[in-house]
Amino acid sequence: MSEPASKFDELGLERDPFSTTIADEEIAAQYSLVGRDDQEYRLREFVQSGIREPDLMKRRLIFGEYGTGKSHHLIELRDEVREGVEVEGETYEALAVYVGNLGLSIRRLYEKIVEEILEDEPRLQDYVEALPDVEPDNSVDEAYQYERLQDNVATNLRKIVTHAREELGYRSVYLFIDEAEDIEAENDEQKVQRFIRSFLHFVNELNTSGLHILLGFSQGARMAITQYEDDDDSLGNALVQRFQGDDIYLGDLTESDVKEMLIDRMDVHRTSNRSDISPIVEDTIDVVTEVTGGHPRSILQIYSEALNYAAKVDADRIDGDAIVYALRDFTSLVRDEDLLSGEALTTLKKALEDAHPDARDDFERLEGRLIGEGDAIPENSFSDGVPGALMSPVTVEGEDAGEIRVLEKRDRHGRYYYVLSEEAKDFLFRGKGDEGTEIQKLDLQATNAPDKYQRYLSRGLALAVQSMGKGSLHKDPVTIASGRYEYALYLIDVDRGPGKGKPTVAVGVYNGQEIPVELLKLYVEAYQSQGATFGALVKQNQQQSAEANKYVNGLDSEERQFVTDRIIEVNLSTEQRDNFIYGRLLALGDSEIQAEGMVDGHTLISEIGIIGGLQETFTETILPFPDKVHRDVIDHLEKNDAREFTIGNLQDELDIQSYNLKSDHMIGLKDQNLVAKSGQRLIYPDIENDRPPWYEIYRRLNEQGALTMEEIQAQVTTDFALGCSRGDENAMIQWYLDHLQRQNYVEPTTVEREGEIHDAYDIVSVEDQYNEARSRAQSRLDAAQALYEEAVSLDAKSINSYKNRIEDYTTQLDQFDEVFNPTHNDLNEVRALIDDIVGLEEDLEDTVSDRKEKIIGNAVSVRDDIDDLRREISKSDVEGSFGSQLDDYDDELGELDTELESLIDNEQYERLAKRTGSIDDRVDTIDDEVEQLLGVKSKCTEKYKQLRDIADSAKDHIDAISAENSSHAELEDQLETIESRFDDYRDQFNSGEFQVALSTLEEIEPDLKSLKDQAQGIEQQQQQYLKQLDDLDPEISDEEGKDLLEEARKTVKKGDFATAPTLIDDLRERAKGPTRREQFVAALREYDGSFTKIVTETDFNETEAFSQLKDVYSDSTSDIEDITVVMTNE
Amino acid sequence: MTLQYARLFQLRAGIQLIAESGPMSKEELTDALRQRKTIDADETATEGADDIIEQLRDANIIKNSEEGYRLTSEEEFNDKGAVLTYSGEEVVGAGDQRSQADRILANIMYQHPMLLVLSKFIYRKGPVKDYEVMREFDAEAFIDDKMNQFTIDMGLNLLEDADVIEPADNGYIQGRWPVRLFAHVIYEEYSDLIGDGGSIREPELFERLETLYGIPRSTFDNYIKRLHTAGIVSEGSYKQLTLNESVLEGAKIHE
Repeated sequence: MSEPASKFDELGLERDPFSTTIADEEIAAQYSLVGRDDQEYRLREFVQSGIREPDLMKRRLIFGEYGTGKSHHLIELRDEVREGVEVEGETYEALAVYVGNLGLSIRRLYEKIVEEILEDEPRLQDYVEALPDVEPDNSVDEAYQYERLQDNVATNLRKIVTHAREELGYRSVYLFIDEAEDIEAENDEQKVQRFIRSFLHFVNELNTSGLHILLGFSQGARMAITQYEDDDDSLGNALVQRFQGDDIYLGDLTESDVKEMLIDRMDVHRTSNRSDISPIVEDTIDVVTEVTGGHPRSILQIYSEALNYAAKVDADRIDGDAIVYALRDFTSLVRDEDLLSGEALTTLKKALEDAHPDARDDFERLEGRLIGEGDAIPENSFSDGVPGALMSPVTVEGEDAGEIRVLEKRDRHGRYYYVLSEEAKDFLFRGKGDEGTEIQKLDLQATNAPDKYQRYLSRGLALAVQSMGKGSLHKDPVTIASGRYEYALYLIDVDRGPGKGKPTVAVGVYNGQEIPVELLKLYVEAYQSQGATFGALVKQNQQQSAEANKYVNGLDSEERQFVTDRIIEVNLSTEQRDNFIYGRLLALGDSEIQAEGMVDGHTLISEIGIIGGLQETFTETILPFPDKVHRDVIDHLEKNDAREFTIGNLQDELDIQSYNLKSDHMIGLKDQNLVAKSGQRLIYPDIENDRPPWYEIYRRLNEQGALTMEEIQAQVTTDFALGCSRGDENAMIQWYLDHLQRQNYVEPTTVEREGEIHDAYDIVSVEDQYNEARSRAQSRLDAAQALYEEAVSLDAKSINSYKNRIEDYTTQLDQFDEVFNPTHNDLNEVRALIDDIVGLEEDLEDTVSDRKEKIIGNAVSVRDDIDDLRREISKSDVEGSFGSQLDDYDDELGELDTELESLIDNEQYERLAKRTGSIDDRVDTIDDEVEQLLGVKSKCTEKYKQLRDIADSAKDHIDAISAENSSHAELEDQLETIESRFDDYRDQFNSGEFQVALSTLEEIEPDLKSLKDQAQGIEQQQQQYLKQLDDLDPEISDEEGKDLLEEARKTVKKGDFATAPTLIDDLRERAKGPTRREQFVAALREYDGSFTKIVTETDFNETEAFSQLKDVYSDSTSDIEDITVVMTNE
Repeated sequence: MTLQYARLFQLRAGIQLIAESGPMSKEELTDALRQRKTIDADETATEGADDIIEQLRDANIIKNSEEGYRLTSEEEFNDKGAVLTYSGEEVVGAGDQRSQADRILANIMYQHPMLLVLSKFIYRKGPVKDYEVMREFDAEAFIDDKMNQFTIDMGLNLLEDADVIEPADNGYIQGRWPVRLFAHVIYEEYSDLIGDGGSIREPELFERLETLYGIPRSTFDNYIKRLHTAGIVSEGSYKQLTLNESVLEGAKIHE
């Protein structure tokens, strides 16, 4: 009957080659160690050194985490030693003891060692049994029992080793201790400490016995024994230090190591396909190595799981699908974390459904190749459109919600392939499996070889600071040789923000026993030749070595100052160190290490806290020297220290580009007290209140008296770092001094030094400043008083309040006279009083100025009046006496104008004010008079014209009077007389005697009017009678009647108006019938006064009818009472 | 010739239009660009379209021919040993939009070497505010490429568009390394490290670049391969690396 077939037959294996742990001694013998050539070499070297120098104990640490093959190595090494150690062609016998666990009991350790020794060399059985029991007698005091036990253990073991060497021919005895896991797990500090003390005692006691110890530790166990005390002399440190040096690390495996290990394992359990990786799909090795970080035990477990899966699904290969199965939710053996998150895989698949209808199906079909084999899948393996959709961001939900590009495209020979993107891998695998362990290993290296790794740790620190955007590194570090290695400090210009300088800081890390002199020399070199103004040293509470102390004491004061005060020390706590801070720094700083994504520089720097420390130190110790543009701004503020500025004002006034002066810059300058603010506006900082940086020079001069420039610089640099470039120190100090001088705080002087006179600076003393201020206050007050008096003399209005203020300030100033030892406070008060007085002065100046303007304005107004009046006179064109009077006025006005002009030009305001008033009055008077003069003339002209009309009318009336009438000649004579008076008038007028001329006219006027009335009356009477006679003429036909008519006419023409009516009555009597008048009156009665009917019905035409009507109406004896005109209706 | 006010996505739209439709007259191209503009632009304005065409032409990606504007071809583009630049056809052939944009940017950086020093300044000193860039470069010139506030502003926009620089709280910081900037700093540091000729160990060069610019290892490795492909560097044994300065003569990456 044949053996039952293995379930792995299909896969060509008799059994699962990966299912056992490699620590098992039986298994260890079956399988080879892979990827450990270097470590094996060094282990053999350790053994050989024990052969070469057998008497002095050789000690070594071997580090390796759980599952990295430490046990496997030690067991193999034990077996090798037992077979004899070959050194330089000769083979030596040696005893080898493997102890799986150090434990926590020295007695138990002793027992295990003895047990192993006897197993290796049974001939020692009798000797061992004859040895006294290690347990102390009861007679031993209980307090000493444990110590006695330690002694007994050491004594017995030394005896056994010595016996084996001397009696049985063994050259050395090796003790290989695998784990210290009990120490790692034990929480009782006392228990751990007691055991370590015992073990240390054991090591010390057996130091020259011929025993050599290889101590296997994990990082955690090392931490456990050193964690309890910060003191470097702690037991744990003492133990580790006894073993450390050229430590052996069992790191993780590379991909090729893994392949070799898998083949080696499979070859033990198969007969065909030997040395071949099948049935494993080779691409999976890369994936599994990467995901596990090359951790051997994890790899074996994953392949074991995958093998079983493949067998279960009747597959003939361990392919990507099997690996995805095995990886899914596989918990890391070194971290509490799943390697491939099942939840993430599910989430991603759900997200794919939204990206493309076929995406999920495609992905599930291809996930083994994509994830498990890391394969590049050709485009045609996907449904149409899926690769494109999966190269675009796909939204995933859940805890890690975000967007992921699932695929990346590769171009091979013109065809497109797609691989799983790094983002997707990160999402699924969460973190690389190797991070934790890698950092731990690096940490161990950095801790155990501080000198070797100093430069990398320093570089890591500097790169992390730079990566935070806190500064820019110089391209080269400063270096110094120290033994086999080189120390380095990295120079970084630390960014402090806009408007602030960028000090150069030499950055270093050191984690050795004590700070070596070489490191301090390096800092001094960085200071002296590389422009570093600060140093930063990350360490762990070490002191300086004696040599370093001596070196520092021998430095000159400036260098010593730098070393003691300018190097900021950051001491890492035990907790920080336990968090592998050195490992992380090393990962960043060693460019050979692929640290991308492994270490977060930001977190690291914030843990170390170096930036805060630096910034604080900068703020406290840097005296700033802003760049030229900003110095100009500050100087401008100083020159205009009474003004407030906006940034825009400063940009305009100094013609600065806006990018050179932003609010960020001003905030930076304000932070450094280089400028101050008043509300939102910028002002020059007050030296004592705002304390700009130059205050520090003032303070020192105040405390120490006059100092030379060099002394000032030395004084200031004792406490401060100058924020200028090397070589600009003098310019910077001078700039500070200029501000102090301009603000009257400091003045140049001379001092004697060693018999020679030197230029120096001293403060303007408080007393001097006080007296100067007081005198300034007095002079300002005097000036205010003078202004007040001027205001009074100018008759300015509302100036009583000024008088009161002057009195108040005078009283206040008088009080300062009584101060004998003035303080800064007194000085400030006087200065405040000066400000008040200056305010009063300004108010008075305004008042006086306003008043002067008003006076000038009044004078100018009067001059305008004068100008107008003179122009009027000039236009009047008058001659004669009146003309000369106007000339007089014009001359007077000219003089007044000249006087005003001269007073204005000479700014004789007071006199101007007075004269303007009186001149104004005088000008008004002249104005009136001129106006009056020019008014009589026009009256003359007007009256003359009026009288001439009357005279002309009178002449017409006179001419109409019959020449036979005696009145005619009389009236003509009278008129002639009047005409001669008109001649008088004209003469008077033409000679400008307007008033006289007017009087002449006024005298003429009644005579002329009377003459005219008289002539008019006679003319009317004459005409009336002649008309009546003309009307009677047709009615008179007889001769007598005609003679009578003629006589009547002559009578009328003679002007005998008394006789004429009688003659007319006689003629009417002699007339034949009714006269035309009587006929007209009869017609009026007949037609009832209707004028129209008279014209139409009688022989009176219109002309005659109107003439008759007029005569009848004007005859007072007629019967016409009224004449009515009848209008047609509207 | 100054940097135009054109955004990368607009430039890409320009070449895409020609790639899809064949040669186009200026009017057709202008009109088509105007139709395509949907962001940051007035769809009725022609000015932006003119800028896009001018920028593409300046960058040697399109050229005016008898049939109208067309993409420059690889054959005719093979000009004067200029490396790390691309013909219009190569830009279109880049496949994804990101690569297209990178190639357009490479050409624009060739035409406007000031973009090299702008980005280098930010990579070296970042985070850097735009006004700090102005302070540094206003009225300066690099390889005869004169800078003023406008062109610096345009340059920063373009570099930000291309993710070469990224805005952060305190100013711009470095983003995706453009290959021409990489070549520029490689040349600088190589020259600084070796002095008068010879070769350098690649790890030493990486360490310098990491120190000065914090360049990630993967970026360094990828771009060294690119420079190798372009014939700019030759790799020897023991990770020795030689810069072929003659190839760089036409690259316009250093003065």
